[in-house]
Amino acid sequence: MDINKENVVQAVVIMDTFNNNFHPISNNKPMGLLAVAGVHLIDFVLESLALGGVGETILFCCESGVKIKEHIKNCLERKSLWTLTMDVQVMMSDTCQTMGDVMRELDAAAIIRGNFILANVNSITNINFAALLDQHKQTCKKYKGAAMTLVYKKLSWEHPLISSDKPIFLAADANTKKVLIHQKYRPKSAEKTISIPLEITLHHSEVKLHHNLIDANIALCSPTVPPLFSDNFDFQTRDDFIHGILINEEILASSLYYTLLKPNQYAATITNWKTYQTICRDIMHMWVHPLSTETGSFEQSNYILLGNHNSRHKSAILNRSSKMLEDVLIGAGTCINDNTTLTKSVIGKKCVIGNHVTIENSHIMNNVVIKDYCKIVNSFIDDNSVIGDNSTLEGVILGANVSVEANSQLNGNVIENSDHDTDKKLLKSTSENSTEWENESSGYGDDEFIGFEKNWSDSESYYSSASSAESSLPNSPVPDDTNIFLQEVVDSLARGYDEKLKCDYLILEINSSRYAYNMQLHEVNFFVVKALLSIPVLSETNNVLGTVKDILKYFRPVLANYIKTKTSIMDCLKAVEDSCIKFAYLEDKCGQIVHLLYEADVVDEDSLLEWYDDLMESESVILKQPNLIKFFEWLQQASEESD
Amino acid sequence: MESAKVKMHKILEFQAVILAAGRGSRLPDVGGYVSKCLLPIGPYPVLWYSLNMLERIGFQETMVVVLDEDKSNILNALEGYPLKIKYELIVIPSDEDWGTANSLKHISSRVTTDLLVVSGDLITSINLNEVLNLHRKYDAALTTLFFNNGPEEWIELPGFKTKAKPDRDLVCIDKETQRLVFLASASDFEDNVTLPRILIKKFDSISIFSRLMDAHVYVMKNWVVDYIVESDKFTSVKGELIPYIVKKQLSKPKNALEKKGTSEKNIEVTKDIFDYAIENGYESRIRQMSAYNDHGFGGKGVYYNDTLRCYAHIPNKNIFGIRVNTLSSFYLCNNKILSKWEEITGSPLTERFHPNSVVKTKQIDDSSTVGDKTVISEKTSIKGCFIGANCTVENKVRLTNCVLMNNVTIKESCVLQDCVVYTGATIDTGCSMQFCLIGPHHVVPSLTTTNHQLHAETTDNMITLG
Repeated sequence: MDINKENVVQAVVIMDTFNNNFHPISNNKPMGLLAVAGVHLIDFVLESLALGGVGETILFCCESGVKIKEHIKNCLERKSLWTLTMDVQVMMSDTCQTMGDVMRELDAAAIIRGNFILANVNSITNINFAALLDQHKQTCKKYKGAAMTLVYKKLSWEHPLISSDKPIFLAADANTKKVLIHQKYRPKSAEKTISIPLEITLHHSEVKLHHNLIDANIALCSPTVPPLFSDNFDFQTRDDFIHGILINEEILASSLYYTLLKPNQYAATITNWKTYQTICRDIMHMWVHPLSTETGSFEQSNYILLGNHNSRHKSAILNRSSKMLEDVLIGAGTCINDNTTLTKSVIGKKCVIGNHVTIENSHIMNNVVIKDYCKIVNSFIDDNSVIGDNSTLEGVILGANVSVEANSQLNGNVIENSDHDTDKKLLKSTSENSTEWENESSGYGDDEFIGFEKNWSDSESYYSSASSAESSLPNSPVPDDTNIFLQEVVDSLARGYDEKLKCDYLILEINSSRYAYNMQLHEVNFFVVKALLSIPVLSETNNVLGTVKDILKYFRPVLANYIKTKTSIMDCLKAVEDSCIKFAYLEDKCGQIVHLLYEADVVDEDSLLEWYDDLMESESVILKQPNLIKFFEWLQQASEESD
Repeated sequence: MESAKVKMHKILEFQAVILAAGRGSRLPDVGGYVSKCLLPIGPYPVLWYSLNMLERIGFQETMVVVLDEDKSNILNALEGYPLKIKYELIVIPSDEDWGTANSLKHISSRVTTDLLVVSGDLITSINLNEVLNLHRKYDAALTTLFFNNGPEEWIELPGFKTKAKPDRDLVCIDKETQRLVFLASASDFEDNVTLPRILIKKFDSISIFSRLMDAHVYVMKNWVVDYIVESDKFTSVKGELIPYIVKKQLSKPKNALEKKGTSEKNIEVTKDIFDYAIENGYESRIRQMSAYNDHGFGGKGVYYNDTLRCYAHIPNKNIFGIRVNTLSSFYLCNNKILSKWEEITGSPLTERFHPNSVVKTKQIDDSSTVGDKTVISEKTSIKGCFIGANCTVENKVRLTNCVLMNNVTIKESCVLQDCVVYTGATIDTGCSMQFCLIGPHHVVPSLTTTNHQLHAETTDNMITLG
């Protein structure tokens, strides 16, 4: 091997996100070709790697690798800036389902020469990768077994990038920067406390606690990382890896370190629509300099700045009576007609926007036609779509090649054009998800730029808010960990109930699911009870109460295993409340169910009374169920009598 | 000593109090009463160092809380030593078990300004102005001092070998704002330490420390003393009051409406801590007008709009600080005191041998001191020893790294190494002892040869532990 090649900085970019957060846009378009502020993600990534001193990049595609290859070929022909200093190699594999598979594949291919940078296609950053990698090499020299340095950016707690993503809690040794605890919370998690093992605090003289970090999805890896993935087939994601290393530090002889970026460096990850919107705005506001809306193109200065962060491409045509309030980006060849008002939006290339159109907080891709008198708010519209006259779209995600009829009123829909016939397919309708979208609409009132994204990521946080809990239904479009966990528990219990399996085995099954999805104990309590009340038999039977009684009787050992302490009883009652509100077949049966639990000694009187107080305080809708009120009257009477 | 004095500013905004009524419960029982604040560290008793420290930063007077039974001893002991600061001894009853907060309550009528509370067993080279300035700078309710000297050095101690581990504090400090946001004892927790999550969200650069040593130096606003008096629920400053105030930082004062509501019902409203922490002047308005902020991120005003704020100062690692409350700290401190002498006291040690002492031997090194009226005979060899007043060291005695308190008699031909001999003890001829503690007024019979023993009155002369 040529001696220079040894010193070339190597980077691996994983071109897939392995989730459905951008469904249905990500269905026929690889993540790398998603446009952010008018630029493909892949162009941002390649440019930032090249600027950061990376000499060789491996793009690993699990899906649509061909399209990426084509794009790279185009870039080489057009001589994008990065092509001058960086070699790019595209690797493809159809079999990889997770990030862990990718790492194993890389290990097998043996193309990693030493320390390398691991990034994701959705990382947007202007950091100096080479310098960070040097820092990682120093760490490796100093501390044996340093496997990975994680890169974080510190932000204020109120920052939208933190509140709209999973917040991370990180504890690390202040002197060595070694990571000791890494924990992800659900967005807007209501947890009040954080527990740290006493041992950790006593063994380290100073432990730094961070909660206001955003994960740039960038890691500096030692050559040991791919083999570690190969040795531990259960490492599926980077979080698995981190978790595995922290738990088995001794066995794996590896440890993790972290580094915080300097205040003048930008790093963020596009994980959902909300972060998409925030990062888009940051790019337009030049926070990510030198990355900009012109990244990836050879010619520069194509945009004309119009003030208030509005800019348009030289070739865009704006009618005199059209208005742009702020933060608007208009792509090449787009035409905006009379009396149209735009604000906080990105319009792609060759679009035609009609007369008297209002567009707010929206992202419109290329070749889109929006006819007259439309109102588009908080929406994403993909290539080649056509919106008919006088339509109103709020919180809508529109796939490519969809045409919306004139006079449509859409609110919170996800519409995709299926390949077989050209009819549009409605993936989500307002009726099914009314509660979820109602919740969003409250966000319109404030003029926060992230209004639109608020709607979309709520599905992840249902544990804390009952209103968005719809998404926990089995066919929820965004299966996050809790959903999968709940589903697995429901499956286990349903099967156990059908086949009369031993409860001990079921407990084992539930526990293994618990560890697989890293559930907190109280969440487990909550979901086990919820799962009990959502076993499919219940929705099929005529005698719901009889079945509930039967189920509770059968699963008494399972309940006894989880619902032991006072706090777990409260979790249990919360689950009952949640289920009774949500499941139609349990309507107006809450009182009886609680009574059954009380008779089975699962819950005690004190907890019930406490729960009742909580309900009163939070003015829960469940109190509208007369039988529950009746139950509490009975309970109070009974307790007075026994006194 | 006078020549080295630099002219000091008088400190008017703070009053100082030294709490020296501790009983030394962490020190080994050596059979017989020993006043903790009079233990010798080098040539002077412990309490002298606290007084000297206050004097050095410009205090002209201070209160000293002492136990009733110690008062006359302390007056006698301090008499002969160089001190300019006026000290007023305030006694608390010896037969009642008063905590430190009780002591503060006891002196409360004399407190008219913000109060600097110093522990009577602190020996440090820090300039306390650093702590006072931190208090001034942030207009703190409470300011504390922690030393970060790393793990305590291990030295072989006299007496029995023990494995007792000292209890450790868990201290959370936000590095950016120097706020003290969490304080608890490690023994309060079993497996997990639970912190409020809001704490780590709110403050940006929190560190949790487990090896800091609390200097027991507190600067508190005048109202804190009022609060101690009126709430009447605190016994200990360190154990109860400080953690309570630190915790209350996260609360918000109840708004006036709620209060009104309760008072209308004719229920007597108990004042909570926020009713004391009232700013009387223009502080809040000045803050609003100023562009200053103590933290970088987020949209909150200066100090996160908190009215109750606790701060912690951690001096440099090379600053010496130790509390003489255990045998190991006592012994370690004696070991170090001479090498740090000028740092700690601010002036060189001019006379190592008291003018009234008689030192006949020439074999005594520079790291030894001899007290008033002590007689050291010829043909003795003395290295690194602190010898108190009225002692007698006879011929052919060899002493290495020993501490002899007052009125000690060492008879002929004894060899003592790393021993602590308490007041009035006598060691008869020909003894050879290493790492031993000899209790007050105890007589060690001649020709005793021991190591790692406690010789004291209450015990059957000797206890042997494996």
